[in-house]
Parts: sequence; C-alpha cells; structure tokens
Amino acid sequence: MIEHNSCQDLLQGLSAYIDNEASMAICEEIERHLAECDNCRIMMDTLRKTISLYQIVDAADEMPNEIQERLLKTLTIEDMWPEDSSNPPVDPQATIIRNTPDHDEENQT
Amino acid sequence: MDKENTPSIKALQSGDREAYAQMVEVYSPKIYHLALRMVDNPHEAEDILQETFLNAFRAIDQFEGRSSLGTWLYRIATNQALMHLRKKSPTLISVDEPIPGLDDPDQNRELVDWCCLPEDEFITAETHAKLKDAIQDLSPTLKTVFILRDLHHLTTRETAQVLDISESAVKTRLLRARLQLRDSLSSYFSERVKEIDND
Repeated sequence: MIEHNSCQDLLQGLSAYIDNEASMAICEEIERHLAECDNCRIMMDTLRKTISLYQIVDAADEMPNEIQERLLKTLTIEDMWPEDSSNPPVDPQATIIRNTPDHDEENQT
Repeated sequence: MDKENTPSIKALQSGDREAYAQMVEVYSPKIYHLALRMVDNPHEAEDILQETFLNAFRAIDQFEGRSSLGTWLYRIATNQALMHLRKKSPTLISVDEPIPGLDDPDQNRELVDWCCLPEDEFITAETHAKLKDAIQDLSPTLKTVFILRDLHHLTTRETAQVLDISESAVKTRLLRARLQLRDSLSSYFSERVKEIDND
C-alpha cells in the first residue's frame, strides 16, 4: 500500500509506472495518489515530458553518411576478409589513425 | 532491437563479406549515436564507432550467441565509450550521488508544472543546449542506462546484458537518471514559466 511515506513511495515506482511495467494493483494505487497529490502529479507529468523531449530531439539526429563511408574504408572489407577468411585483419590501430578526421589533421601538422 | 535485417552469425563467422557490410549498415548508425551521446564529441564518437567494429570483427569467432548480435555490439561500444570517458575524467561521480527528490524525502519543495509551456519553448536552440548539458551532467553509469533504455529503446533485460548488471540495477539507475534530468530541466523551465507569467 502507498501510505505513510506515500510521495516517496510513489517516486520509487514511477519509472515502472511510466514504462507500463508496474502491476495493476500498483498502478491503481499510484493513480489514486496522483488524483490527490498535486506535487506528485506535477512530478509525473514533468518526468514524462523530460523523457519525451529527449526522444523528440534525439529522433532528428542522424549519422552523417561520410562517417559510415569512413568506417567502411577503415574496415576495408574487401581486403580484411578475402575468400580465405582465416587471414588475420590488418593492424586495426593503424587503420583507425589513417581514417579519422581529427587524426588526419594531426598528421598534417 | 532490430532483428529483421540482422545478418546471421554463421555468415559472419564464415567471413561472408556481405554479412559484414550488412552488420555495418544496420548497426553503425546506432553505435555512432550511442557513442555521440556518451562522449558528446563527434570525433571521439567516430573513434569509438571504428574501435567497436574493429573489435567486433576481430572477436566474431568468439561470439557464442548467448545475447543478440546487437546487444553484443552495444556492449563493446559501451565499454569503449566508458574507457574514453575515464581517460578524460578519471575521477567520476558516484552512481550514489544524491538525486533531488529521491534521496532527500524531507525536502519540502514546491514543484512547478512546466508542461504547460507553449510547445515553441521546447524547440529552441537554448532548450536543446539545456537538454544536452543536462545529459552530460549525468554520471557515466546513469547516462549509459538512460541512453540505452530511453533513447535506444532497449529492454531492461537487454540493457542488463549490455552492462552486465542485474535488471533491478538497471531499473534503479534509470529512475535516478530520469529524476536527475527532470530536476535539471525543471530549474530552467520553471524560470521560463515565471518569465512568461510576468510578461
């Protein structure tokens, strides 16, 4: 039961409630408490809003194509895995240094 | 996690080049995104991306399939990102750092409902900067769980597998991360509510 220390108890169950992972009994208790406690309702609403803001901003963030191109170049798929796949890959550290832009800049100086 | 386009482990382990290319195609955007959120630096994120795939390609023969391929890649990437963060800042904040509202139950604070702000308020460059700052202020352990669970939509179980921690630890860290982020944003948005009210 959410009783004496109810706001604090609610907080502990808030993530599970938001993720629809709380049991029906807990959900009912939380909802009863939220209907009576303004602070907890605000806590719940702003917590949900926080998560959704991050998800909205995040969805617009895509990896630039040239990064995948550089990755493929680094992995040099054609050379690293010839027909005989038992051949060891090329020195990975050396490849990293060749293909990341900031290291290129360092190499040019 | 995306299972539809995942190449078969057998094909990868037999050195099938198309399978490798498919693995890069499917997972590189996710791994890059995870790395970028973790280290907040595009060049470092690209390093982590490259290190992740190089390590994965070298170790694919040892992959036993106890977790999904995606979970395994996330695990390698997360470890790489955490190593980068440790190099940059060896003294990291503890996961037990007090979280306002969670660890100070006696604190009697009046909460401001900033959800009612006009939607335009949430899409400004300033808001985006605040969101970015707040996530970077999380400890690496909390940040990792938040990114995996809330931004990459891994399940609690998958996140636990990636981080090699219990599911209950994932839940605890997720709650702490969410509350800390909410608290950081509340400081900013509450001020905006007051400013708008005073106008």
